[in-house]
Amino acid sequence: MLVLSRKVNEKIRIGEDIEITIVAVAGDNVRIGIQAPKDVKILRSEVYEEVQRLNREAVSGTKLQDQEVSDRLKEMLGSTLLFDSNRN
Amino acid sequence: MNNQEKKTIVFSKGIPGFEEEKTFLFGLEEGAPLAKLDAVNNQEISFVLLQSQMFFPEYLSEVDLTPDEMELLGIDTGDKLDVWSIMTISLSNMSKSTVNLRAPLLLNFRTNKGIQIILSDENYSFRQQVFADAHNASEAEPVKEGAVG
Repeated sequence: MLVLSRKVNEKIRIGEDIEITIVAVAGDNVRIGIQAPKDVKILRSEVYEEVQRLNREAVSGTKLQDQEVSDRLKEMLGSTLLFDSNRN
Repeated sequence: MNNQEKKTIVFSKGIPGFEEEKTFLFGLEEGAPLAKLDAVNNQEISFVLLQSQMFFPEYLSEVDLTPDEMELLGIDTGDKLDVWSIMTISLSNMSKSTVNLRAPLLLNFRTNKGIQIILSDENYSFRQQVFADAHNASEAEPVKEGAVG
């Protein structure tokens, strides 16, 4: 891994069209600005780990009594539903 | 039966947490916007999917895909993608089951390819409650002594 030292407002360029700016530093908190083309996906790394964890959890929930679970789910989906419709 | 027919979907990058599994069988459930997604090579890996757009009409009516994602789905003009969300079912209290709206599955049934994407919109929850009354007590609280009269 390449390690660089930067001060606030200094930048790093990656390739032709990605630029990273150190916006502010406060204690162990660093604010970073990223300029990149729209087709470059930028995510906090822990977000991917969260999806991995959630997927594993989802799988372990479906292992048991498959048919029973899906019958019960259908019943519940058919009656109670559902998301707050005022969410926006 | 037609509804029960299973389709093979290839996730060439796998699904986060199960990156080594590439081939899944997708089967619609009858009578509900539900489907099962089973790994072909590992019986232990099975997801319950919810067609969240049925309940959330505005959810993902539009989505920006990167060129990589488009390639993974083999998208051609005119392709219509299916959007499904992985459910986490709480076996001890099913009314607390959640659905992952932040990381939907996109399926292209023309090419039989799929991916799980992560949306950058942080307003979508990883754990959206599915049942509206989930935060109400689903099991009636015993009436406290002296509360009546």
